[in-house]
Amino acid sequence: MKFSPPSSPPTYHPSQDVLTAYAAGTLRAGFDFVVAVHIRNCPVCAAEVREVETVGGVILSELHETDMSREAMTRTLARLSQPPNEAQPASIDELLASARKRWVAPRIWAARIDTPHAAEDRVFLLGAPAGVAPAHHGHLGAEFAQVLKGEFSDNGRVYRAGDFCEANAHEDHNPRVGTSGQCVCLFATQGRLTPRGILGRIAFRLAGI
Amino acid sequence: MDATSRLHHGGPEAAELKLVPHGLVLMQVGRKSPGPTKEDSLLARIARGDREAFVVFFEHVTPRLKTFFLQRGATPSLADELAQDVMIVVWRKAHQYDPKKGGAFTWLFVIARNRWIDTLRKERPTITYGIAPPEVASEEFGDASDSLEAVEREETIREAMSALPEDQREVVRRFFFSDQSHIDIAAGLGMPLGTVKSRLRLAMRKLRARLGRPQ
Repeated sequence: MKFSPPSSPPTYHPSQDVLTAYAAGTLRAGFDFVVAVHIRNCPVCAAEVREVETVGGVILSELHETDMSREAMTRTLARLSQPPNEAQPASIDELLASARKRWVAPRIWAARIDTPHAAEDRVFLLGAPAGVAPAHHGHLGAEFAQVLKGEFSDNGRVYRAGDFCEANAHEDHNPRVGTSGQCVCLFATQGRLTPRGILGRIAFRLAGI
Repeated sequence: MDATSRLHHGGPEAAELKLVPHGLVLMQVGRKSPGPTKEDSLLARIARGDREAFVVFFEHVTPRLKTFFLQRGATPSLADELAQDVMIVVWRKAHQYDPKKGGAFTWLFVIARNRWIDTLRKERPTITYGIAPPEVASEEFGDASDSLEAVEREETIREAMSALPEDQREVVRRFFFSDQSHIDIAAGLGMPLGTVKSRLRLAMRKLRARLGRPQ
């Protein structure tokens, strides 16, 4: 699946705490992927992340020194002429493109994203047509969502393509897709998603989500 | 922000500086000239394949990189190895280093951070995180974010950091240099989670204020 960049700048952004953790490299795996996708199209957050990275640079420069091993230099010099052997990491687009759709309810699909993340967490795309309430659900931990296409509303807010939505544990969600067409979102959830209703649960489990 | 719009939003000194080029504006408002640092010159030479410069740079930065990895939780031998890995990336990507986008230590920090994330997720290569990832110095973000020259930004943050009260500085330092969540930091410092969060926020807000960004 390919997604074109949003036509207008985002309204809803990751919180300062989330951006700080992202830039420091301490954000929960999988969740950082959702933030990376947001930042890619959000110059405001990109600038903030860069600032936090600068703080990281300053702290690094002020760290005390630990002696390197005696052979470190010779080893490194010997490696300089060798060709790189590590695999190229997959890009955001490749990861999104490789996700395979599965129907989890009438007209609603989900596609698991293959990022490294905790076994109990879930990172996935969810697509639903206009006017649908895709999944009345709750979750045990945090949930990050990034709208890639269309729009949805939840608890009185409208999230459009490019927007980021952060939810905490024990919140109940009843999102509804807007009328402008299909909505596709990227999610990271801590723990399995717990859709209300047995059918939803079975479908999500079959889709590996 | 380009020079013109910066002046447009500038303070009282803006008007009289209207015609001076970008770089000079910084000097005239009484800041240090952001000339190339020692690290910048070494990286420029490394980019041209200069091994001698590489050796100097290696000795200059790896002892601090090793401390970084140790503080994130690596064993001494792993930390040593990871610092060497960072230097391999430095050798290969030095030509992508652009001092206008961030200082040398910021660039190193991003490489080291990504290397550590990869180590934690060893089972497979990860996507590259971070925004001006050193691997793809992204043009698309342009310099819209650069309300300050990169070098000056690093200098400003350095000053702001040293102006922070010790308790806030400690929280920021721990947050960056130990692989700890807020909760662990709170436990480590023996203070409630809320305190750690608010100190971190307060510290970050002060740093941002120094950069003249909205809070």
